[in-house]
Amino acid sequence: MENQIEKAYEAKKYEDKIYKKWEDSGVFTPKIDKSKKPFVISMPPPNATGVLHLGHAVMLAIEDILIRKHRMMGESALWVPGTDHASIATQNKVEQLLAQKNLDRHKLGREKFLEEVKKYVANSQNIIRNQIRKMGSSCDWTRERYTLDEGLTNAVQEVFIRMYNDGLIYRGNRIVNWCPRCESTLADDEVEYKELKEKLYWIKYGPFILATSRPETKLGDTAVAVHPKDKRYKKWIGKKIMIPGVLGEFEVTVVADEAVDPKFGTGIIKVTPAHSFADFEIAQRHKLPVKSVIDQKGKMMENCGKYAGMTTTECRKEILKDMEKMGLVEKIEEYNHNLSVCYRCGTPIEPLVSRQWFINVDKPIIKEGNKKKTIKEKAVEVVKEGKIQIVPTKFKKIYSHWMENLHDWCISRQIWFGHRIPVWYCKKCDNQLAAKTKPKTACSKCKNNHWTQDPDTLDTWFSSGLWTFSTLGWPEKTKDFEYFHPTSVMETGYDILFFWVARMIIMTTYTLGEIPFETVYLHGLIRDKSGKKMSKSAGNGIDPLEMIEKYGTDAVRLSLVIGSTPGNDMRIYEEKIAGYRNFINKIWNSARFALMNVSEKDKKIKFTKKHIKSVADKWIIRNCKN
Amino acid sequence: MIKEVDKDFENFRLSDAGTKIYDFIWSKYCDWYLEISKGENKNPAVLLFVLKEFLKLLHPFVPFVSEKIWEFLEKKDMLIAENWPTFDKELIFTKEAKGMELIHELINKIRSLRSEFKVEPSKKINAIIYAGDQKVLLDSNLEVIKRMALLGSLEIKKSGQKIPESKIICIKEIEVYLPLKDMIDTEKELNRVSKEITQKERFIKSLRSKLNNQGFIKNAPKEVIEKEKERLSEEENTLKKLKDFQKSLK
Repeated sequence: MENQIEKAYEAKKYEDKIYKKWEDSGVFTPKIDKSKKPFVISMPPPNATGVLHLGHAVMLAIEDILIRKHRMMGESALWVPGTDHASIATQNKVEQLLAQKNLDRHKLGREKFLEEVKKYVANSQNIIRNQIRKMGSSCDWTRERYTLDEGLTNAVQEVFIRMYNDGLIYRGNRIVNWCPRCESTLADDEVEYKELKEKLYWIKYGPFILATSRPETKLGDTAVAVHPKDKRYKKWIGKKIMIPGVLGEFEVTVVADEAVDPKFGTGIIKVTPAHSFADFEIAQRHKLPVKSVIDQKGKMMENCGKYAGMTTTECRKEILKDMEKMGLVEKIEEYNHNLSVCYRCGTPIEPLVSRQWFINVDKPIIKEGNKKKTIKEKAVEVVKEGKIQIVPTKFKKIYSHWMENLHDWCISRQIWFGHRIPVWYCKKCDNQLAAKTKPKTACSKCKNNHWTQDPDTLDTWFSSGLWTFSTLGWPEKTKDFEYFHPTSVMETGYDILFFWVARMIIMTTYTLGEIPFETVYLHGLIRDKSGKKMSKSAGNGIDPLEMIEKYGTDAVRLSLVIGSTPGNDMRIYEEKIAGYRNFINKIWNSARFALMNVSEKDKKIKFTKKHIKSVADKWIIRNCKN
Repeated sequence: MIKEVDKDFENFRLSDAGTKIYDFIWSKYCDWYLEISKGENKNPAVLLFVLKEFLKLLHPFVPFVSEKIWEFLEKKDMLIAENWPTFDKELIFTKEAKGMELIHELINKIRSLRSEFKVEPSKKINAIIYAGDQKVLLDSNLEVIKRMALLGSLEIKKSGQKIPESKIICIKEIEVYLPLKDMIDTEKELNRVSKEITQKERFIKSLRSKLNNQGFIKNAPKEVIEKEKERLSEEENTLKKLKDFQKSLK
């Protein structure tokens, strides 16, 4: 019998069919109805080459719950799906695959390499699309976007050019976090820290003794620094002195700077402006020379005499031997050190001075009445004034604090896969300009017509920072953009509040003069049964797709939502998911029991108030409808 | 429930919303309404209406199973495109709902008394209710109370004489009498009680002699003596209750 409801619910048997029925019906695509306010979520785009993990699963579950509810409430509910090109991550992956074939990107050349990446991405996108479907996500596939598609590329270039012409984007020599393996810069928040036992070397340094963890950088020292109030060194301040070194004597200046901790070591530090953030800042304050000694591959440069070409580790060993011979090493201690490493590949970061593109976050540019605000001030203001709500509210303070301390954002990356920086240089003179395509006209300065594009690409967060509006067709004046922006809710993990959410607020308030979303909902991180972070290397991860296969999507969704609260981490383990499968069975059984008590004729009854008779009827209806 | 669920959604308390919907299904619809709905009390129109309402509420959380169940109810339209249930003040039957809650309380109290006395589920017990003004309400639910509280016979009167040798449950003006002989294996119980009495008497005796001991009274701190005295009076009280109970069994 067709109407016979099976004894047990077998999720696997029904889920794909049901999803197809929904998708084919067109119910995921909302209609534009200007008489009502829409409800919009931009899906945080998973990496195009990724696979679905539990972090995505919780994001999809929460967003789908919100979208389905608002759709049922009769609102125009739009959920825009998409994928992120994830520049470094994707390039690394393709490079690894090429390495298996004994190839590398330099052998292939830029164009061919990018073809390879394109092929790889297209295939991966299909995997992630199907996984998003598996979670039951009722997103509008007709509006799917990709951070590197034609429309989004146009939006990225448009914003870049506007910022460039506003003088917000500049090129400068700055110290950056450099990954010698990826051969690219990393943003401050792309750096991770690893606690290590390292050696601290106490060395004789001219008339001083000082402690350093990196003796090899001595080759790039241009000063020593002390605290201004430190009486021990008062008489030296401002003097230039000669220091005996492994490559002969060299000159340093003694400077007094508040940043020096008089309690660390002997209270005096050596200053290597080209290879330490703190030292670079000291050098800027005291106008000290900057001498680079380490190159972009992490090797000692030509100016390092017999050490040239060595890696920093090799150089450290050699230089120590030589210093010991000269009697310059006083003692060696162990100490706990927070080593900064690349969040992609774990390689230790090498701070380097290089020429990069930056966004100036402190330039007054946004006109408001007679005043001009910086993009940073504007981003602080919209949250402070409550135009954007953050759930839970505890993150409001953290956001403001982070934003207020924001430095210029380095947006150039020395990799190939991504949005190429739309800046063109005249080959014949020093002229440059920003344009979407190669300028057709001659250089305004030298009248030559030879242009070459900047080889670097943009930080991947530049394009994802435009996500809420670029996905709706901006800069074209589309109906979608007019109706659906600003969006309603941005739902994501608190771990990317700064990486992404903060950048969307900066980029949107600057570009559009409006907020990207009304509410930020932050979910917690997923942990294992004992509260540990899940990771591949620890082997404690749970594959959401395997769990869906075993227990059904509904059970997985419940395990990620029930018992969790915004902003707090949650624990997920298989028994928990199995428990929610029983929960699903209970729902099924209660419906089944109810259905067994009614006839086909009963199902056709059109319910009205008149049908409510007994006290029990009234009680159950009240409890449901109140 | 709908009002609260909507509020939870507004405040992004999705877990709370989901839990409330589930609790409704489980502890109201399944435990009570479906149970009450058996037999003559069945009202398919309401049973189906409520089922559909909670499937709609459940849908955002568990879209697949809810849509699948919906297929058995509606051939044409999909659940995903249904309207979200709304609060309806026309359907808030405050007075009747209170009446039903009174009946639940009554059934619950009889059930817990049964378990307190370890009455086997298969054993029917009898009850007499003096219902006062609630007689009409209880009369109209006589079959439900009888079935769900596992009663052999149930008499509902407006008022009456106190019934000796029975347990009494009071809910507001309602008095429920449950004759003890239905619930208790008298012989077994007498045996247990007299054992307990002997134990108590022995303990009280030793406590008394301790308090009569001059050495103890002189040397022990005041608080300790006070505590022992308090204990004695408590124990004597319990003994009296046990003896009364023993008498009632005979």
